[in-house]
Amino acid sequence: MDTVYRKLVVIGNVGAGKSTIIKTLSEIEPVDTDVESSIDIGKELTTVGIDYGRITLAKDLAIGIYGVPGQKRYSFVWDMVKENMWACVLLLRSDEVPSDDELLELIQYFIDDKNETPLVVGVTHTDKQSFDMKVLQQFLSKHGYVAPVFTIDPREKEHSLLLLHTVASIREASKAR
Amino acid sequence: MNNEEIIVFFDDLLEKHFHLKLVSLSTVDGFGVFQKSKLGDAVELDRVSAITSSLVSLSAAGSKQVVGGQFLSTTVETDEGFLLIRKILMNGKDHVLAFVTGKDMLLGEANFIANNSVKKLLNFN
Repeated sequence: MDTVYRKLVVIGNVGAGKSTIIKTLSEIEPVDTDVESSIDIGKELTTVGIDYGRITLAKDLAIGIYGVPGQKRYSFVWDMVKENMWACVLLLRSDEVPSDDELLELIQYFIDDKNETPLVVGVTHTDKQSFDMKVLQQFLSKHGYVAPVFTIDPREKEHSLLLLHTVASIREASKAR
Repeated sequence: MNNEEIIVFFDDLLEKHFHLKLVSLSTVDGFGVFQKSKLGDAVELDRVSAITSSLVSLSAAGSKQVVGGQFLSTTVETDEGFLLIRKILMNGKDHVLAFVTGKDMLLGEANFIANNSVKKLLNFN
């Protein structure tokens, strides 16, 4: 049986761990487009191109994992990557959560068909700042998004796989409906 | 080369080469340092910095993982001209130098201007 490739897109604010989760999950050496940041963004490196990794989920299913830059001025990369998206993972830094408007704009940029594209949220850096998951879930629900929310450490394979398996399960469930 | 000298250098380049439309120096993370353009409002200069830094980062990944070498330059060929990109180390930091030409400039001439500009900027650095 031929392998089917699907596109998983990792979005989120700067420093949320998008490049890290791709490094954690990928079974190939990831394409890494991080460069040294010239302004203070709370970390040394920032993504300016597309991060790419790949993981095989089943004998006939491989997932290409695409990470996009968190900064909006790179939205031309977002436009390229969101085409034919299979599922979306949103990572949020607990100590630098975007405003409601920014968050909604980001989600809507990538997901315009709320019923079709699965979305899962991973909240990172919760060791630095506690995070009220209920508020986020209510916010998403208010805007018509049904998205499980987890606290994760993107360096941990188990945590990262949890997000991946969750989007895959949502995708399977929506196919069965 | 101080900031003023770079601005004068960019001005001279655009004046001297009729078919050279834009020169841009940006940080590798896509912030414009100096830009000169004959394209008016047609091209957002912030966008030039973001796009050229992305292209450099992807080209560098391709250079390393596919060719096995260090990235030197990227050329984008279009029916309206070329976009030439060079990575340049200035003041100890990597920068992105980009040139946009009209369709009447030959690639060889554009490459000569780009390489010569890198040398000049490095000599003044």
